[in-house]
Amino acid sequence: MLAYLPDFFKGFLSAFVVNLQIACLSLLGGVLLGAPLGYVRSLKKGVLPLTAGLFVGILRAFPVFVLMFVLLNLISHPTGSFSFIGLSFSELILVLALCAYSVSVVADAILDAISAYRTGQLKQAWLLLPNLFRIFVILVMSTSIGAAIGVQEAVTFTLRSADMFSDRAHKIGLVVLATVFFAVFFGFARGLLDQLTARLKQST
Amino acid sequence: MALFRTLLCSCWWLLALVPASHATSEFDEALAALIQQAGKTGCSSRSNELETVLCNKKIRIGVRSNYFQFGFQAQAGSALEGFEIDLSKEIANRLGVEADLHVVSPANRIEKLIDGGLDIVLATMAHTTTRESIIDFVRPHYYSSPTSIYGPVTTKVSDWSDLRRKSVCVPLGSYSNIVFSDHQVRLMIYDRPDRMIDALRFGACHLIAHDQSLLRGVFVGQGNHRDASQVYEEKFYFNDVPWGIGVRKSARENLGKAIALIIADLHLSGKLLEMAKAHHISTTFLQAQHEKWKSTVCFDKGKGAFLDACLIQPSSLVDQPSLIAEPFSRFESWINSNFDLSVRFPMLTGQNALKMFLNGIVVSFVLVFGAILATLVISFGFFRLETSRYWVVRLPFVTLRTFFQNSPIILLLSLGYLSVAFVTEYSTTIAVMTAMVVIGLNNGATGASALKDASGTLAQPYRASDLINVASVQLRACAINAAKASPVAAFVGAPEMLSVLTDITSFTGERLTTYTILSVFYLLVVQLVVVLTEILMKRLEKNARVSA
Repeated sequence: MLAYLPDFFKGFLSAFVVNLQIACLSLLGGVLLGAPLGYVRSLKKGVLPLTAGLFVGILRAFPVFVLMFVLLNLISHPTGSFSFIGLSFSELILVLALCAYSVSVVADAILDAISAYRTGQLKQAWLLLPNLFRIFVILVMSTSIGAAIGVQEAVTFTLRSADMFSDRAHKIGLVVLATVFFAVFFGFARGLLDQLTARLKQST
Repeated sequence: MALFRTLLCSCWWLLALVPASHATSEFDEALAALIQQAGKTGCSSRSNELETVLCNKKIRIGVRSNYFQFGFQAQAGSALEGFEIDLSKEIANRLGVEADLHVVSPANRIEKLIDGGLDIVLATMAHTTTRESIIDFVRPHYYSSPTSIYGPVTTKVSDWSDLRRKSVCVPLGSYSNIVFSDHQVRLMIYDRPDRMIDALRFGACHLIAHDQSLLRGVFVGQGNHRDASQVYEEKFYFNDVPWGIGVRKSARENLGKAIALIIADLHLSGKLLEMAKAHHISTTFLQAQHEKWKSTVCFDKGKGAFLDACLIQPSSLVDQPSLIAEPFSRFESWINSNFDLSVRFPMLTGQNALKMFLNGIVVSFVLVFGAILATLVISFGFFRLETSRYWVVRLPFVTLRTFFQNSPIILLLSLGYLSVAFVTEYSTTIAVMTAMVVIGLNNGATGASALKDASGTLAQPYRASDLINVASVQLRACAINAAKASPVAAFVGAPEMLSVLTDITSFTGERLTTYTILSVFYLLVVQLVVVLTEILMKRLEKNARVSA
């Protein structure tokens, strides 16, 4: 197993880039759709805020894992080397499913920022930025569910690499290694985020 | 004019009786007699399918266009080729008519036959008892294939126990898929074999299951992916099912009988075997049939019929109707006729499907509430240990909490599965319990963090109820997240709704209603948790106000 580790880390890191790409695209999708939804929800009167609120509520309640399978089974699989803005079919499905989450949380964050701005708390409105970063971190972590539909990301790479070993202890060792990588990465990201948020709160 | 037409037809029958370029067998003789019998009435009054085919001088055959080596196009727009295409032409040739090939899919082949758009279906169709209740199958069968599982050479899989908890891509609507759910295999469904093979090549599928005939052709034969045999291998196979040519029920004693005689003769002469070899498909079944039909004991020449003992029985891999099948079938028909919508409820109308569906509902609720309970218990457990006065206790638990809080749930589930399977026999109950604990650890770690933050805002000493009150919003969020995360348990083989409905879809072929029900189910479950936790929070607030 030790001899395999250099190759594993190399493959793992290149697969982790896929996690980051998918999270970026999901956040982008969330901002593009969530920002107008957040604005519409901030309107005082009319049917539009209610409709937007209902839509965001449904997206918020929909488990991403379930949505991913629903989309996978209801959208017809294309033949051959499908590519949409550089995404394979299963990656596209994962991005769409994660967008359900990102749209709802971005809409909430935008709504909070607009409310703060309207009440004159300009600095409070700036908390939108760490909120977006927080959403991005959660999205990166959530991309791991793509392993269930064969997205070629870091968790899939880890599990498939573990499959190559017949010894269960080696399998566990490899999965623990990958889990520790994620724990350190996200622990660091969260720590950074907490610091940033605390500083912004302090300045307000 | 009528006399001329009758004369023309009679000449045609005589032409059809001219034997083909091989030694005449008793099957040939019986076929000739059958055709002669059909010719007696002439083309002015066509009383059955055989007469219609002979009079039209063409036979409309439903074939596949995307099933490598059996019925496929080498390039877009090129002519159809494959074992079944050659067989179609041979049947037409033996009947002395033209083969009129029509491309069909597994979804529409039976419908097209029943509607009268086709005379026969020769399209990789397994002979099952369910299908036999709608159409008739020509026996002797022309082929038979088990289901094979293929995957990368580097993946260690040799039996069902190795497949447990792994994802396998399967064809939509094959009842043999029910075997996978019995062995806790995760399924990904593909509606076309070429898409599934593409998915394997591009890594979206790690293991695939399909007819051995197709997969051996792709990976071992002279197919498109000649280098594939270096990368992929057959892991194992199961469930041998005979393939039959479909005819309408009304054609059983005429066109069906004629084709049965042709197939028997093709087995006897070894022509089917030659065709199979030409297309590099497995010949195990055909060799056995060749030996069988060499013997004359299987054919009653006097009656012109085959002995039942010599024929293979249809596969009975079918879901029997459930107790509530009838009202739901009526409801389906009512929706179809009143709203022009094709809605089916296979999870309610099939015996096995209903059992799985009800089990899935129970498991999902157990999982959701178990995961919430585990989340709350672990939240308080971690918090208690993290706030211990001894650093030897605090330090490992702070580390563990950080680890569980920042790890992807899928990796934690895999770790949970591997660890549990290390010490005990893995079962459905163990899978559900493992998932509950892992979801609890992941969300409970966040809950513990929230409790720690809340405790920092309270003046010492504080009451537990005050702590819960301050952290209630975050704890509620953790509980809702645990409910939303519960379907992930499908990843380790827990038979909850997502897993169960995917399995049901895989063998019933119905997706729209099934996945709509799945979506509504989980939206309602999450809403239920939202409402219940809100009621609980209000109660806590009220109690806090009273005690204050």
